[in-house]
Amino acid sequence: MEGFFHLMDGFAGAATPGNLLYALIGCVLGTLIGVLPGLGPAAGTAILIPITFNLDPTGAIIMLCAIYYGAMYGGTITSVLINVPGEAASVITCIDGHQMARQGRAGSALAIAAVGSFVGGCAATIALAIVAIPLAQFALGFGPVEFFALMVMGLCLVVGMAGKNLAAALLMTVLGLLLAMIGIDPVRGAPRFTGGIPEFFDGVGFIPVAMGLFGIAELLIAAEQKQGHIVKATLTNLWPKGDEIKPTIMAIIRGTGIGFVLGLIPGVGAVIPTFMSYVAEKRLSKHPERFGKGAIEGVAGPETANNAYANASMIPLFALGVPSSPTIAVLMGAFIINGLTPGPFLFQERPDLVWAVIASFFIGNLMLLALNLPLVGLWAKLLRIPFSYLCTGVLIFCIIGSYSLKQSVFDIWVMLGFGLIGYVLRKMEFPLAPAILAMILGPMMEKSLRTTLEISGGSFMIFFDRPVALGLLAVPLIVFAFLILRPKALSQLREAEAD
Amino acid sequence: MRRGWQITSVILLLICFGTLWEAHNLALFDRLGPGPGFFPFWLALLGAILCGVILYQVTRNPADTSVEDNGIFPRGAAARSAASILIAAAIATALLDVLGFRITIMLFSAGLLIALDERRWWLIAVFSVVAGFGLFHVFNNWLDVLLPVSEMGI
Repeated sequence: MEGFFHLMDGFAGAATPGNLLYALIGCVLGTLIGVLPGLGPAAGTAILIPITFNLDPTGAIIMLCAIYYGAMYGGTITSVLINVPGEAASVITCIDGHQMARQGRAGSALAIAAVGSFVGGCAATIALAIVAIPLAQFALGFGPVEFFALMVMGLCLVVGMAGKNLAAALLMTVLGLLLAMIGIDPVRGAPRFTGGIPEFFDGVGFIPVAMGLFGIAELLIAAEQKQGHIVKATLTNLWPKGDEIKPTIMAIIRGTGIGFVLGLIPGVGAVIPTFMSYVAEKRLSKHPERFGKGAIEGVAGPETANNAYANASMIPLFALGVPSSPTIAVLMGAFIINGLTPGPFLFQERPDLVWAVIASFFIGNLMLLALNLPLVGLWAKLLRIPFSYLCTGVLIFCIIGSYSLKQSVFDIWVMLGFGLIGYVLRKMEFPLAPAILAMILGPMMEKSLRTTLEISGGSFMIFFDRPVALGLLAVPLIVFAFLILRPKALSQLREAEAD
Repeated sequence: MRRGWQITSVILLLICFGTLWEAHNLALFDRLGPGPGFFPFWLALLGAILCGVILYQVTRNPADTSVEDNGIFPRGAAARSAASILIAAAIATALLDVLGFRITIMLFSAGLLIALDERRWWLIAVFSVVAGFGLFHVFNNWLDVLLPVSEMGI
């Protein structure tokens, strides 16, 4: 009930003309990012951070969150119309969504995806409002020991779910943590790993690295690929046929559950919930042979799961301060740029901001529902922008974004360097998500560990004296043991994700 | 691809050794507890072990990497596009403080568009001017995001 009253206050904060405008701009920009192939939500959010520099923190975070879930909506449009997912989570929608478009039912596919996304997003946000306060209050009892264990657990789960090669995923995590060590030591003030370069005394900027690894690398990979054929959308029949309504509703309900539960687990990524939802729908269907030939449940379930996941993945960020995906890590970076530290203390320090942002999720989801269907023709036209102009425009925004953080050209070099590194690593299938998450958690992890060891006089036995910390550390051990002892169990899921 | 994994693992191994060395030179422990070298030292050690594991996997069991045996870098037109993007961005970065945002981005846009096979000159001109001068105006004047200006004031 407490959450409900806070949420009502949040609506008052989110419904100011300024914040409504920021949510609307965020939804439009997010949809644009989702629509444009080769620009994922992590890169898109990072690139657009500079436009929020001079907004008040509430407006800035509302806009950036709207960009995130807007991108989740937008990715569907390209999946349905040109069989090219705008972002990774929409891959599965290509299978039946594009078939529906070829049968002249693009309108139905896009409408049901929008409705499913709205339902999934709102349901997950209601759960966020209910769960956030108890979880944050529980986390308020955490000391540095528990926080270190929590971050280790989050990172290990990301590692466990990332890529095909466990050692490569762990190595990326270690490299992300080492990158975070560059600069002045936060506890003693000693410079570390700076190579005598003054620009590194402040550390390596998270945003230039994220833009490089995700934005520039994605552009370079997109430069190698060609766009598919655009199907002319028929938007006259927006609603499913009579016999499709019941399975569609059930698919939306199941998609909400799957997306929400998996959104709570760090490292799962947006692809797995959509994949699991698709598999569930196919298995539960009385006519599984329709899947792959334009089954509407194959669009409704995954699209619902996608947005339920996107909103549910905010719960670990808001309540615990642990990002669960690269895009959420970029959002966490935006919080930090605005002088805010996500986690349980934020509910005490800035309840106005937290609840306004949570309330804005409802408003944003409603805006997306209203925006997507009438404007789908316009979004489809954007796909005709030649790659040369798209690429040049995105690069200019990357340059502005990197430069404007510190008014430093050096950060643009950092971005380009990491763009090249990211391109090579992605081509070799090294997972990048663990690196970026480790980079943002690195300073906090180090500080927690060192404080813990100062408290214990250098003894690691303190982790065994704290049941919560021990429990948190046991989770990744169980996951790793499972992965090592039963390697086939998750390999199928990973292979499907890679496909 | 196998060779690529081997080269990457060796480079990362060298980075881990370098980090180990520097972390060791920083204090691992001091009178207050763990020093500035403590966390990076153990991380670099773990990183070095993982590089060794990957190197072993790739060398002894190439199938463990589960990576298709394609080349890392593209060839032909795709290579030209990717290289154009990187070179144009690098030149623009080098010129940004000298020529200022407006001129640099105008030249960058025109150059990259031509390199990416755009041939409609009027569109290139309009896009370049809007990108250079329009974005500068939007960010500098409307969003209060300061962008570099050349010594000539442009």
